[in-house]
Amino acid sequence: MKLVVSALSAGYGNSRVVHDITLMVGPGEIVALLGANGAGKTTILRALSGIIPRAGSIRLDDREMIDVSARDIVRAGVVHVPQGRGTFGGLTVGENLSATQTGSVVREAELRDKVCRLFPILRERWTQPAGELSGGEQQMLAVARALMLEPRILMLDEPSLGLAPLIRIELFETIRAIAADGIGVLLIEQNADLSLKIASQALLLSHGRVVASGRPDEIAGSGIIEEAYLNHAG
Amino acid sequence: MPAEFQVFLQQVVDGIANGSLYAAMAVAIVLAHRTTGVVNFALGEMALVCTFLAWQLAAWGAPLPVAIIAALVFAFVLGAGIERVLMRPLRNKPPLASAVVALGVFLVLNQVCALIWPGAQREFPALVPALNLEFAGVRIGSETLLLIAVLAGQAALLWWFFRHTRLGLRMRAASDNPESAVYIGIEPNRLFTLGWGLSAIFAAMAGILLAPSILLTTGMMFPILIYGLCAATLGGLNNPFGAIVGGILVGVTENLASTYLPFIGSDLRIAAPLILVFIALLFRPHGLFGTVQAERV
Repeated sequence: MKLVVSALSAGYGNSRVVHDITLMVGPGEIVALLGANGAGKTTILRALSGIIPRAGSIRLDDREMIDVSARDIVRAGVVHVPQGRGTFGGLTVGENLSATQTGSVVREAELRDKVCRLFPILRERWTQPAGELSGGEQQMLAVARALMLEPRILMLDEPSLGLAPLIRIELFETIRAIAADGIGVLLIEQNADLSLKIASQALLLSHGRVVASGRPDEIAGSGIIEEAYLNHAG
Repeated sequence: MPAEFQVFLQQVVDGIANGSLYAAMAVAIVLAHRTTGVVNFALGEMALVCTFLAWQLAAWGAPLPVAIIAALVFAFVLGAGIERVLMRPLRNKPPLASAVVALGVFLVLNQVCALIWPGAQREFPALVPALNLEFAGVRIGSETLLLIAVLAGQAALLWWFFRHTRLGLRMRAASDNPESAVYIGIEPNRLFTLGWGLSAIFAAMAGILLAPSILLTTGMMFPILIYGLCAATLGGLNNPFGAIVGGILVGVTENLASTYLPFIGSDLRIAAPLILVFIALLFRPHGLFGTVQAERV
């Protein structure tokens, strides 16, 4: 499944935050969205999820998704793990995973086994309320919950925020494994070096517009990342 | 058995009977609160309208079970409709706004009821044949046994629904974190509407269970709502099991206090459970079985 976004604009209320965004995520690809705080990265993911009003074109293979509801976008296979994890703190780990499901019980059990192989700690924490997990465990739960929905495109917003360096590296290895399974990943990550290491494509945003795109080595070696971050800060 | 102990036991049993009724209302309050985070002060009057409707249908000749089922269906539509039309626009407003609107609905429904069914008090048909069973000198009526059985059934049903059904889990998820629920394809608004509809059914059941033991009046549900709120607060506003325990504690405390504390008597009997709630909340601010959501960062 391929996600093709063109001329996307979106914002909050009357103010447009991102303009004329064009990007593509194919099966197994990891596309990194880079940019300083406030560049519009999260707004793009929220627009793609159908959470905020947007205009332009969002195509999932041959299907136009620009007017599709948030629920149907999830059903079509585009799943967003928001910044701050967004787990259900009052539900147990097991309940967080089961709440995603609308399919058969057998399929649910298969998916549960699959995500627990990816994140074995979740099985140990199965009956514990999600709000009591550590930051890293909550992030794993958030990704696992998204995987229970069998995404074809997975959008991750700052997955490593607040995590210890070792857990961050482990998480990025898991993201690589998820992509290797054929899932397209759209990744927002403040740590540009880390995301460029695993990305197959990267887009650099500044002031709500794409200012550069290409292979990670092209982006990393050009000095435009530093420029974009400094310009935005200025 | 000494006569004094027998009196005590009788008061406890009568307290459990009253408390079961409060518990039935408390369960409805908890259900609405658990699914939408709003304390629905209008539930008592929603129950009132539905109880009058069941009475009216029965008076027109409908078999009692049919009249009750029709009233419960109406309760669902009424609850869901109020949530959809009046509560949803207030979703992101301060909680006081929802509380004030719920109080407004309370007044409107009460007046509508008085307008449609004015005048004399009405007698609701018995739900079960009147029998007084006696165990060790303690009497218990068949209506009370029915009430306890229905309450136990409700508790088991809610426990199973919220723990073991996907819909129940999704309702809890939507209530826990509505924004995050959207990211997994849940539409919180639909589930909130459903939650209010279901809570209205539970409230209507409380009204219908109360009705045969009193005469129907437009003021009949107000004390039940107050006791129900006490019970829900005592047990914990997010725990149906707590609501049931809270209801029974409120009922028993009220009965024992009015029997054994002469200065309370029958005039101040409502004060006893309120004092109980006050003391309990001093030590457990979220109620006896309420939980505070821990959030590690």
